Amino acid sequence: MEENTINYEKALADLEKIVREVESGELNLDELSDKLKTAKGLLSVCNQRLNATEEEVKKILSNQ
Amino acid sequence: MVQNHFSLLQLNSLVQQVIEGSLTQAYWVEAEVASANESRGHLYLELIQKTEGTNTPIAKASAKCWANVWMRLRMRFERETGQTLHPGMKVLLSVYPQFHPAYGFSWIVTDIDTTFTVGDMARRRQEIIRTLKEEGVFDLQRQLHLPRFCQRIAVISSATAAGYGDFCRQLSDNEYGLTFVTQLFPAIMQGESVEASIVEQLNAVYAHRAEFDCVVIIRGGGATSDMSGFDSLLLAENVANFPLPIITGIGHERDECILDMISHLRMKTPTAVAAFLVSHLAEIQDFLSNVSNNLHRIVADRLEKERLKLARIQSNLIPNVMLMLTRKRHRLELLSQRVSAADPEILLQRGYSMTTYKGHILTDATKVHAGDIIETRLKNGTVRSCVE
Repeated sequence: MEENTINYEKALADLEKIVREVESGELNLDELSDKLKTAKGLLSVCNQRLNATEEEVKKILSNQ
Repeated sequence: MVQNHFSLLQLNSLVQQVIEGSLTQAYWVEAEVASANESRGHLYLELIQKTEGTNTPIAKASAKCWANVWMRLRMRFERETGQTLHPGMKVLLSVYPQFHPAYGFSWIVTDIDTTFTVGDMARRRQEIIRTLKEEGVFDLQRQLHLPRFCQRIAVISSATAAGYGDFCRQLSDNEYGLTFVTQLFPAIMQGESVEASIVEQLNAVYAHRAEFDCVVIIRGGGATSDMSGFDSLLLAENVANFPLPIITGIGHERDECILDMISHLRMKTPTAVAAFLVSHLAEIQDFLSNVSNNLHRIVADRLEKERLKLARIQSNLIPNVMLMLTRKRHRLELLSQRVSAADPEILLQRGYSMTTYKGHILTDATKVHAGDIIETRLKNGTVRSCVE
């Protein structure tokens, strides 16, 4: 659980960094599309984590 | 020469005539009692006078009190002094002389001034108290602490005294159901042997002092009011230096005796001593049950408080977690939107085009010159153009 949290926060930080770079407009086209691919990958990782966590939390709380 | 001889009776009779002829009145005489014996109701005394501070007798005489007089005087004497007439006492006697040819000289007692004896006893008590204070032992017993669990009791008493029976009954039949362990150290509680007997039993208790919480000296139920043995320096010193608290219940009417003054606690009767011991032990039992109740209450209060706290945490937990997850999701969505907004494909889809020069996006027309080749990306495909 702790590792998941760290990974999520790390992924989120990476994602924010990429978004800032992309929005700066200073990237060339190849870099831009690479970064966008990475960003989408990170988004999907974060979404999965979030969904998994929510499922887990619901399961734990319903067992009380 | 023969006519100059006297028979002993003749001579004694002469002495009798002289004495009884010249000493015709009664005299008040101060003396110390050296011995006192009763026989067929008559009192036979040996009187003595000693030089101040020594035991050397400087005057001695026999005295008698006839039964008819003594019967009356004795009751008054014992009532007012609280003691029987005994050796060592100072007395003030009204006497007249008698010389009997067969029995010799004797003073005949007709009255006793008891206030003199009472005063002398008080003076002696004061003397003993002063000595005890000088020795620094007067308060020793009162400085001892009676254990809060005072259950093992050494009893110095006469085994047959009604007071001892009362004491044991009162202890064992207490209303709280408390248990006491008593052990009798039998002692003589009246007369000449009181001092030696109690001291001997104190020594016996001392040998087993670890087995007892306190010592009780009781006497009672007897008709006698003889307190002389309890006003003794030796007994007082033994009691004062005793390591266990000593409680007295030697029941008497008149002022405190030395034993009472020196003991840890004085009660009037054996029954009162027992009642005190019961209430003393009941006190600690009561204290313990209060402590126990308080402990239970404190623990229950604490548990209840924790239970409430947990319930509050639990009821807040689900909404808090859900709120946190929602916030995270929201943040992720915002990021996702920003990623999408930055994706040029979306603009191309909507009919916009994007021009690049040497691989870099072209946003400034002055960056290219005539003859430069630029590429324009459209939704479908790319157009290569030459700048004019």
